[in-house]
Amino acid sequence: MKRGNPALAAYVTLVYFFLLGPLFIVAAAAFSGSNFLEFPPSSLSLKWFANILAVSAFLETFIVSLQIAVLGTFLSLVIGVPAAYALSRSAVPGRGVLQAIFVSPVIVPGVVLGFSLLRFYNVQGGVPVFQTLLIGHTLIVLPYSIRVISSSLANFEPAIEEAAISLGCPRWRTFFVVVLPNIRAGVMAAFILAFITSMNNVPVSVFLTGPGVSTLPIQMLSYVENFFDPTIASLSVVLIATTAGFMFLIERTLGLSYFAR
Amino acid sequence: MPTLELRKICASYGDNRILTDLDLEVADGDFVSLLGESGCGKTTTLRVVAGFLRADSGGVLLDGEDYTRRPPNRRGFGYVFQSYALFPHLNVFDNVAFGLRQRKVAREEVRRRVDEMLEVVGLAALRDRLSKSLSGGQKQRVALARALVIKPDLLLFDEPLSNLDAKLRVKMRVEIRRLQQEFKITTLYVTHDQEECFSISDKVTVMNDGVIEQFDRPEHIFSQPASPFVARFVGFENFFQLRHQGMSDGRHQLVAADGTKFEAPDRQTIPGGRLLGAVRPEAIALGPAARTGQAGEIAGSIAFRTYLGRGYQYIVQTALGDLTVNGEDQQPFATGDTVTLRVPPDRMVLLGDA
Repeated sequence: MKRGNPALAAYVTLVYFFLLGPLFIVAAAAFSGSNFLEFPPSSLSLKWFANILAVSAFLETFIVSLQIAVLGTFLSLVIGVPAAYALSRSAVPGRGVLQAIFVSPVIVPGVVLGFSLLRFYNVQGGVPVFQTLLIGHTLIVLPYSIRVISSSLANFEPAIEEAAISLGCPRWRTFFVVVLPNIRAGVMAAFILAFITSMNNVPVSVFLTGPGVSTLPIQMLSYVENFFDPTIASLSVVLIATTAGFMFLIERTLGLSYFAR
Repeated sequence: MPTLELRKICASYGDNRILTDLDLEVADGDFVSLLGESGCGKTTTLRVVAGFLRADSGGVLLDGEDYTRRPPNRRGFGYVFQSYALFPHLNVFDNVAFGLRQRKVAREEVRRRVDEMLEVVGLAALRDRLSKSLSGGQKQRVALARALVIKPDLLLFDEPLSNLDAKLRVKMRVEIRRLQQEFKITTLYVTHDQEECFSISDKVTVMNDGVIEQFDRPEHIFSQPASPFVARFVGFENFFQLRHQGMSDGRHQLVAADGTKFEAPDRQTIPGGRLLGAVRPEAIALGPAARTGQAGEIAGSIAFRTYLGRGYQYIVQTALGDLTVNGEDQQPFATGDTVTLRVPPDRMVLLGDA
């Protein structure tokens, strides 16, 4: 900071304190040697990190979470990119209504969505737990995909597509060779946003997880209901570190400014 | 090179009818402009020709072949956009090569033809630059090269110079005209800029409210407008309601409502219905009050004066209404001066008043 306003500096420090303070407490507790969550830790140990692997459900649910997040995000893009394109380019009748429907999973509380999906897909429809979970996650991340890609398309001039068409490129191919390469930043951003949303989701998952199929956040939730040791803190540190490493990798390969365009 | 023909085109956006029974013929190798204010339907016409907009009815023909339902990617027309519409993710070379690659032209030939074209538009040095990093003028040259390199049957321009500054506009329009003549491409050019349009076109189409008011050589449009709309558009500011009173001395004899007599050259045909005489501000001679009784004399007084830089413009109050007259720099008249206006017979254009 250049010769700043001291009041502003204090204010910013306070914001950082509130943002990062809890993270610091979690991180510190993760390295505690005691058998329950404590801060400051009275002794240091890595045993709770080892315990993550000892509880096999963590790894199992992590893999389910990963599968659901990757598949759900992919599906949301497969549905969301054409939907966003259609909404932005053609005068679809009732465009406003369609737009409202596409964001509705954000408006409808996750609890309601999760419950209705459980009731109608799983219980009545007989759809297996994993597939129902996948449908649920696709639905919750779809609005994010559509929103991010729509804003990306809004900045992309229709005349550029017409230029390609006038040069002999058919409409469908224009989408792949001209539109897609120019909105790939939006697609990447949508992917990351949808992926993280899916990985973190609790309200929908809590209804849709069943015997043998659970996601990591749900597993973490049920773990803290039964155990009070710092394993969850250690796991949180691992998750935060993984995410940070992921962002670092993206920054190195694509540059974060790439998403800020 | 082919002839473009539009037959009874009707087109609309939603419920909004834009074009009504529009007929137009662009002859082989001609440069034809569509001129008009925004909303007159000139861009709509261009989009119908390009195939981006499906006409409600009517036909688009190229050399007699029906193009009305042909998809835009199979028309082979070059289109140059106001916003340049370059492909942001490609460099200059790949932008220009795009059309050839769609046509599956062999790699070597693509290279040769694109480089040749970049040479023609003077961009050879920028061939590897990303299109984003170019200036407006350079972008429009790339767009031009991109449209020309496919050897289009027809070249379409949609206000291509509107985003450039005034000096560059003049330079680019000369460039466009040069290339069009060099490649002898039939061209349809949309603009709202009169000077630009008159300077580069073989023929000009003045459009108003979805119909063509006049289709003629620029000189004729300027000197012999066909309707009051075109007359106003090209700078006629004074209009008189007239009655025709026959011929004498080889001139039409005309009289205004208050009895003022006018003459007009006999080469003009008298339109049916109500008659309107139109005169440019610079065509009227302005002098101190002095009546000689000749035709074309109007008495008036100066109501308002503005300075134009190379002379003055006056609003003169007369029995025929307020007239706009341009005067010399020397000895300007002052507000309230009584004056006599003279309308020379050969400067009066006769129009039918719709």
